[in-house]
Amino acid sequence: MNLAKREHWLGCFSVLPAFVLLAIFMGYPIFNTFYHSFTNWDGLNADWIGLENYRDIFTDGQIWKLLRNNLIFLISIPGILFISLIVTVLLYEEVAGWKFFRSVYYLPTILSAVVVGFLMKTIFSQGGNFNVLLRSLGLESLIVDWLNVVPTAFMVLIFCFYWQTLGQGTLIFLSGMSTITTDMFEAARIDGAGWWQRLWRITIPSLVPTIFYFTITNVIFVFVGLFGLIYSVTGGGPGYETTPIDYMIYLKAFTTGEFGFASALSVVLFAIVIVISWIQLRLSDKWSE
Amino acid sequence: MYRKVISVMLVCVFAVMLAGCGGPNKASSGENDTDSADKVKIVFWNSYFPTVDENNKSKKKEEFYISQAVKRFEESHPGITVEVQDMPSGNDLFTKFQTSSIAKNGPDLTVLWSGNYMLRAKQYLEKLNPYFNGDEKSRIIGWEATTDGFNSEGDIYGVPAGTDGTFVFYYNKKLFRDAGIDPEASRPKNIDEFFAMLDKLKAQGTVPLALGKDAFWHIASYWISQTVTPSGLDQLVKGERHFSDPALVRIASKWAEIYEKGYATPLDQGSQMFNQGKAAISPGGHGGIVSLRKVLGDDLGMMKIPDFSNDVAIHDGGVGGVGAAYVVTNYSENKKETVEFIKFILSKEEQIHYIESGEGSLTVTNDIDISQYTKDPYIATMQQWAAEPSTIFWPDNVYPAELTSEISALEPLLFTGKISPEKFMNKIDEKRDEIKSANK
Repeated sequence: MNLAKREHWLGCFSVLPAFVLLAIFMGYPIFNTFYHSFTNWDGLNADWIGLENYRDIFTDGQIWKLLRNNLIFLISIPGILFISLIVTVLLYEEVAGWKFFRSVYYLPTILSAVVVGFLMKTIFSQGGNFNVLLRSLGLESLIVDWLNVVPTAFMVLIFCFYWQTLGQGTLIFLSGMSTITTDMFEAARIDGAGWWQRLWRITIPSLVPTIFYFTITNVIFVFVGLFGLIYSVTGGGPGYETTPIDYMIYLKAFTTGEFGFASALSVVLFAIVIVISWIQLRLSDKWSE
Repeated sequence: MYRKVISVMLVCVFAVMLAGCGGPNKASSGENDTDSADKVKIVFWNSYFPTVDENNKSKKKEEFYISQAVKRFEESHPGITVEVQDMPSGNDLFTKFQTSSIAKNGPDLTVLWSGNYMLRAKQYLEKLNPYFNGDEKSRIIGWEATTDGFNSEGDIYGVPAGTDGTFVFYYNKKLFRDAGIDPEASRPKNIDEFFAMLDKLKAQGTVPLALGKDAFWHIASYWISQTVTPSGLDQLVKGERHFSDPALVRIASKWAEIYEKGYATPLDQGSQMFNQGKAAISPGGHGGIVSLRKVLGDDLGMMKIPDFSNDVAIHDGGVGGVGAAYVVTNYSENKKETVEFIKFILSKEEQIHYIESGEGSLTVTNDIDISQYTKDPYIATMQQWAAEPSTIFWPDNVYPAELTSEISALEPLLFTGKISPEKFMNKIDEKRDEIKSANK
């Protein structure tokens, strides 16, 4: 066997363990879900029904409400991106209290979404701490049943999302900032550039790849990672007003036993995430150039 | 060297694969132990029997009824052990039961809500007809609630575990006295009289109704049921009758008014406010008698939920009946022993122990006179009310599970005024039709 062939086989065998594990733990479930999306499946028995699940998804009108809910979370991403950037720059510039903040900013991120969710549910329930605070401040007119009406239920969920993501965002941007040479900032300062000018003209352009990374991971998160928060804070309610696609998959599969429909919805979600990620990556390439 | 590395890598991969492909972690694995070949272990997922006392945290697990019953069972059945695993209740239990049953590594025994809740999981449940003879069946009431098709001739998938009695209104006598109301002498006969009573309580500075998130199923669904009768509920499910019927829309409208007019506590504070004497009325099943008596003492009152109108078909009733059932999984390797354990729990002696423990007050067996074992007269009254024909079996256990989920999901939109009563009822009709066409 010549060297080239040896290297070829060595490469193949080197990736084999990872490939086998991925095939078992990722490939099989994906294939299985795809197959069952064409069936009426109750968890044990599956009858082939062709495209019926997909037809139901796109004709019963509910998918548009689910997508609307995902879209609301989606358009909240620039907000947390901006907040994370500001906090990062403040930490980077070592403003007063930065040492203390540096040691605590990551704490919400390490808490489980369910812990954060139940905490927020306690605070924002009808008789919760927030309404008690409003009452004690004489602001009875502002008291609402935060979790049972929209848009306040969304506001609470987005607040939870921001609170949990701030640590991750700050960490990512701080690591991005470490790659920017300090000379640039100093030169800009000497040339009279103000704080906002430095942010818009130096920091943000230098962090484009990091911003894209943060955006892509969070776009994927709002499609596939919100389950814990929704489950623990609003349960998708009132009605289905705060139910995103991933939570509906859970409801269909595990509260009504429609595993086939849930599989089809999962495939639709899979397609949406693939398309959005592809678009973002293309944009990222273009911007990086 | 090169070959050795590859061989080691392949061995590692296959070792991981083989470990992953090992048989499921069978709940009832005791019989597979080579050194205990004759021993049987029954795994019981318990969310039915209390194992924690919120008011007495120092009470040990061994002091609760179920631990003592298991001990007695194990003593009388050498070679069989029962492992009680505490589980969350309600939908969380269903989710866990369903997922574990697909993998066939769930329990041997658990207690599920009866009716369509339980039947939704029937593909994982053992049919129990052959395990019970006529005598054994006849001393237990409520088999309809655990039988496919809700009739005694169908396949039995569960054994009645307990009855909720009839859902009633518990009330604080002191708050009623302060408001100048005697609900026993002048019980409201319809929704308008009921609202007038709530107004009087509210005028006294009391929150009239302590409601939780399931209150719709205890009150509004009773009003619907007493209007259409149980056969009417069946017609609603089959689509022969509509939820958008003006008479039913009026019920939805009045239900929304309860929240609109500020008669109800915040949903998360209902029981707390009732216990603290800040709310006057709280709906509840038989379990409330023991727990609320401890809190309110002689000030605890109990009355039936008022009729919705004078024209309803069934007067002076409530919803209730056998709401929970023991089920045995069809993948259990110890089905016979598990059924034996169920029979043991439902034996006359054990039911008496259960009642005397104070953890349960009613029984599904008809060979026990409750009044001999309890001092509280309300328990005997509850037993009597539960046996009356005006007690209607839980509508949510009769509706298809998908319909129940839909109603529960949409109901907050109704009471927060986000959708009109007409739209709410129309949406339920639409969901019912969707379920019907899917089942076709």
